[in-house]
Amino acid sequence: MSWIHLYVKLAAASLRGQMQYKFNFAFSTLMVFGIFGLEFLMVATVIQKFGGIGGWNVYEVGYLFALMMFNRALYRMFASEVNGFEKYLIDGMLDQLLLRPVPVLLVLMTRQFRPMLGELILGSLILTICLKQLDAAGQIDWRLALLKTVPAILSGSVLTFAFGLSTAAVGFWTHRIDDLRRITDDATTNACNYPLTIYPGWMRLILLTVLPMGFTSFVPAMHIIRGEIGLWTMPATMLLALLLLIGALRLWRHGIMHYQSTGT
Amino acid sequence: MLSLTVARKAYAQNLLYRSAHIMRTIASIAIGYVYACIWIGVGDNQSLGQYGMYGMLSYIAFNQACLWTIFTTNSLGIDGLVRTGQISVELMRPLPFFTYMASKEFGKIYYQFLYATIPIYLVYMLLLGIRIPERPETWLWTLLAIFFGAYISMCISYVIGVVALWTTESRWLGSLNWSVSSLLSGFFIPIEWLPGWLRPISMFSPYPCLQYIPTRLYMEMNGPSTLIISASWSIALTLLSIALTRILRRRLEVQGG
Repeated sequence: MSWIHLYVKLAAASLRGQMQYKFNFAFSTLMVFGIFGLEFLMVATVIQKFGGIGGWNVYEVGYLFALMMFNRALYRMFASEVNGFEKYLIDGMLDQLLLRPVPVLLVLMTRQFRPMLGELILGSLILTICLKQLDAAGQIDWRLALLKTVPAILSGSVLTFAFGLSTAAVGFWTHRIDDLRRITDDATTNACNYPLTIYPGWMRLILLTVLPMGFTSFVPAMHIIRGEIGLWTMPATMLLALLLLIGALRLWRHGIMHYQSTGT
Repeated sequence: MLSLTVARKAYAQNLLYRSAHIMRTIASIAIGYVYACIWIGVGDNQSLGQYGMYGMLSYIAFNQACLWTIFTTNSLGIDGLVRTGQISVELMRPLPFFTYMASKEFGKIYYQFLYATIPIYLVYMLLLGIRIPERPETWLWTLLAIFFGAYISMCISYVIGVVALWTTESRWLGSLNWSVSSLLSGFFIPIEWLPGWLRPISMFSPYPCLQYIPTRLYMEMNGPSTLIISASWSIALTLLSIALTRILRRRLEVQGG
């Protein structure tokens, strides 16, 4: 049985388990929709009231928001437990996974598989509105922009996953990673919801080099909706995502060889 | 004073992880800085009303620091107690359930005030040069407002926690409450700048007591009379919490863990 086939089977089993509680599933989807919708409403209110931020209008910032929402949703859909890896290290739950005759990462990624409908629906809604409005303003051709947005989301999700996996791998040495994740994931994701032009130079540099999360939204948006940089950014972003993924997988493999159970 | 002992124990428990919480505080400083940058970006070619750019920077920075005083445990952990059946034990303790949960939470809030709010505030004061009150009594009013804000936030979380008796997904209500709070408490946008339809909703809710009132007092833009609003909401939510606790005692069905 191929790994992909096995992944699909295990993820489907996880999903079936969650669907036993249909009301809870629908309720949580609705709540996620409300939570992220309010978050966007909060920022959109300010940008609309003051006519833009750092030279970007509300629809351009909305596009960044939608990209980040898709990146986060796809990452959490396929690797929810990579994001919450600390409990496996602290509670000794990883020991059980190590006994299985399949790669640990594969089992981990099938656990708590969630379709993330709330984020995906809201993201699609914001993306559609923003692209249509930018098209109406003559700034883009929405069909072409949408076509380019798909690979941008894919490479952004891979980048986000690579960051999540690297952070999780650090846990093999430090055990506690939730607080580190707040910097590598929460803080950077939050920062990349907005155009990097509003940040001082040192912060922009960090978000484009040390923690290159700027490539998940800002850099693709600079080409797709602003047309300020060339098409080359698309393959360059994909290449960067691939390189970071390879690096994260290597770090994970190296870390798991040095894993010592907490014994709890 | 049993409740004081419970609060002290909760404080001591949190104290054990203070070095582990340093990264959390750094992340909070970074996220607050992002919000400050947004307002700097917005105010680049716009006047920001009575606040001005520097005032908005202080407003956002102070709110970010104070966030940790209203950052309560999701549902106060009541949903977990119901799920595991532990709630039956908690209800047997020789202390009213609401007082017990409130004391425990206040131990945590006091810890967060000392080890998150104050460091974040000091960092912003040194790095961003945020404004400091001119009148000494402002500190007293601000601290009182922060206390009321923390108490109200705790009561709201308690009420959400009690909902766990009816649904296993009350944690989502906790998250939704957090989002609503971000919008209506004036955390990111001063309430007077909210859209027309949203302003009255915010004004007639307890959320402004969490951030808007303390920050406006700190910035000496409002007088101490606004504390009456916070005190009134504190009393109302206490009564609601006590009433819900009565229902909880009668309605309780333990899921068995």
